[in-house]
Amino acid sequence: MKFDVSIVITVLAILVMFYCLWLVLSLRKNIPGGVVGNTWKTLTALVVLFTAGYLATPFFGMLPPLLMNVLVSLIFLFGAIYVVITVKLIYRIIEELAG
Amino acid sequence: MDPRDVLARTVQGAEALAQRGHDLPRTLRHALILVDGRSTVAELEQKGAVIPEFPAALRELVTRGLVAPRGAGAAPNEAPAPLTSTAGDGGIEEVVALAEDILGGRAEKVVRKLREAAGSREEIAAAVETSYKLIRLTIDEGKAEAFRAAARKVLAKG
Repeated sequence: MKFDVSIVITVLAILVMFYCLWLVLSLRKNIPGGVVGNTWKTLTALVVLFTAGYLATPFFGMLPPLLMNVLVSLIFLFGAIYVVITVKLIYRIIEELAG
Repeated sequence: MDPRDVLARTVQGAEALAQRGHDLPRTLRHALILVDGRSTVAELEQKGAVIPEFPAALRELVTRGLVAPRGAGAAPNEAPAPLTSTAGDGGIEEVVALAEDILGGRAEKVVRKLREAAGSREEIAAAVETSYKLIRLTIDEGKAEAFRAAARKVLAKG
């Protein structure tokens, strides 16, 4: 059987994303609201979306090329949104703590 | 009650406050803490706006004989400086009571932070600011504002 490095990386990515999902859900009860709590809800929704998207990656080859491209683009887009939200949250926390 | 009446603790009220194990519902206890022998009913209602059903709690205290309008049964020497006169704690108990009232079941971390800071009034004021940030970041921004405003009033009284 031919060794496919991309499958290994994909499996690792899925595992890391599941760990991330467990983290956001288990930590949520400690952050019921406020600046962090409200952002946490958005981040949780994005992590759920990513988990679903990552789980679907092994089956991307079965999809029509156009649909596959759209899905990959959407994952990139939401990934960028996730990063923006995280960076803004970190900056907000720093501002609050420094203020 | 006349909004212009100045309320003070009666002897029973002072005793109830001194005994931490006294069978007094939390809201009544917090309302009793705010009665300082100087403020009118109207002023107390402003100070206690963050406490749920505060006017009803005040009436209940009067009914139970724990507070009374000054000159109508209130202990003559039971008047000002509730912060230091009740326990000499610099106001920490009142601030903790406020946190518990405003935050309810989510007050645990904030109360711990406040108690760790128990000391001088400046240390308590600094702990109030830190707690404000903690509440704002992790609990509720509106409650953070309410807590800080009420705690500052309490600390300013002393």
